[in-house]
Amino acid sequence: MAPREESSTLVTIDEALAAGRVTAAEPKERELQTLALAVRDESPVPADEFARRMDERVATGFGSERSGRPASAPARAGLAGRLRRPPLPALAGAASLLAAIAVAASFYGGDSDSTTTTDTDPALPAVSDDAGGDSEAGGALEDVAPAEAPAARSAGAGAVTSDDLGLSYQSRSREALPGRDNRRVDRSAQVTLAAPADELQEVGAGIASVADRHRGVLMSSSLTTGEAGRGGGSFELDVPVDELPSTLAELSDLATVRSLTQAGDDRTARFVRRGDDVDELRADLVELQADLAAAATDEEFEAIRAEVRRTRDEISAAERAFESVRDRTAFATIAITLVEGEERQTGLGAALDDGVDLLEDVLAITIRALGVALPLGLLAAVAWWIAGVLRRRQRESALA
Amino acid sequence: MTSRSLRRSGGVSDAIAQPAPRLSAGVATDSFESLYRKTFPRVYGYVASLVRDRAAAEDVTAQVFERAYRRRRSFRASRGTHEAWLFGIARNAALDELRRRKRRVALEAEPADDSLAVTPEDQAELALRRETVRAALAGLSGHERDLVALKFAGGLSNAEIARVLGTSESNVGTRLHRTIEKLRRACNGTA
Repeated sequence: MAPREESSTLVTIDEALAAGRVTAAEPKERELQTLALAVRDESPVPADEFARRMDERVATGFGSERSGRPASAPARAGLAGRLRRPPLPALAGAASLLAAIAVAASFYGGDSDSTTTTDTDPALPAVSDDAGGDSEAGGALEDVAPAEAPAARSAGAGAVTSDDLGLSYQSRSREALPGRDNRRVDRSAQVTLAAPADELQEVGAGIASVADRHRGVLMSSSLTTGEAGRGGGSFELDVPVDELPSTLAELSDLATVRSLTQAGDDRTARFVRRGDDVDELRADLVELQADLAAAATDEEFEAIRAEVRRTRDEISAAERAFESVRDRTAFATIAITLVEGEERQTGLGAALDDGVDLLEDVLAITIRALGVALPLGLLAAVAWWIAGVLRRRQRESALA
Repeated sequence: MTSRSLRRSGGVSDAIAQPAPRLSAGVATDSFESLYRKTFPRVYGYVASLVRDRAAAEDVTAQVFERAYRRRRSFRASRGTHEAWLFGIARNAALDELRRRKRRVALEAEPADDSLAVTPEDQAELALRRETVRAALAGLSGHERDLVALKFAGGLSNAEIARVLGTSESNVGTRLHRTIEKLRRACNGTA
């Protein structure tokens, strides 16, 4: 179909409709105009009575519809349809907004200078917290039979029984089975405190007091004061593990906390292994002492005695290793860095700072909410558009 | 607006010739009345052409104007003219009604319109032409009848029809041209 012909046809028709009569001279155009006018003349017209009724209703702003005659069936159906149809776009928008706020709030909760990390001993098999004593490590321990009590032999080296040796270590190490509450975790924390130059001395003394109050030990300390801008110090505390949270809380009261990092290294498996080492060596010692008592020759006796000495040395080393792990996990190390900082503000300045902080927080939440809301909104818009297309097609199916 | 529709619009014909109200957003109550007076016969004609039932056409037309009145503040000039907006409402209402009545309408014959009945004074040629056009119109598909009704009963421009149908003006022109050609061939074949 030629575009020019199409355009000409439409113009010809529009001219006839505008003039209300045939205006063209060309026969074909006259035919088209005649047809257009004839088609228009076929349009139904409203009855006078209906037109009069509509005039009245429009004049009263359709107000009489509520109190006068009942609404027409299509009107009732339309109203019912509106009531049945939920406002999906509004509901989708509200749901998107709520989801965005929830996600943003959850993100916001993790945004802090304070960090906590826990490293699991790589030697420790994967163990879930609710695994009870059925973990691999635990199972290995169960397989270790208590050292059989050898017959006590009278010998120069003296008798040693399993009751005196392995069981005590094994029972202690078993207390730290993976999956139980009393895991052996080497905990540490690094804190950076900031205080005005004239308060550094006071804060340093406060750190020592905190260590005392929590049964801790101030392992090292260094403090420089007097020279403006270059004051500061460092402290290292060892406190019982169960005192770590309260100690950190008190330290944070001494000065402004610039940063706080906590770390945990799970040494449960190592602790258990060291206990097993001691147990096995002591069992070996019992056997050696039995062999020593049964030695037939002097040479054999001397050789076994040398072996006994070496085993005792190994037992001492294993005990030290065991106690080292035990001690490291019984105490937490807190490394404190004290720096010179601005004086803590009060009054209007503090209020302004708080206001700025609050605005930053709100902005952060807003940005995160937008990050979630925009994709969700895009999806909702696409869904709304598709729903519109489907609704239109469903309607137009009446024309098929 | 044509002389015929003016002549046939009864009680509202006096105000039909007024220009359509042009507001940027929303339709004021007095402007709505003006819009009603200007479009009432055409809206009815369009709706009746689609639903092909006088009682249903009256119900739907009343519903269209009431719905438009209730929603008059939602009109946005950026989305098209008042007439395109009103005929969009009319089309939705008519199609909804048609869907409800589809089975019945399919079984019913084309309703006779008393106002179009051929009087004894009509010339034989005019009567024949009317029957020819009616037969040609009856041969159109639903979509084609919708297009023809918007153009000839509704009196909308191609741009306004495009707005109502949610398509482009050029697409409307092409479809309209094709439909007119179909009508012309049908009329010539019948004649």
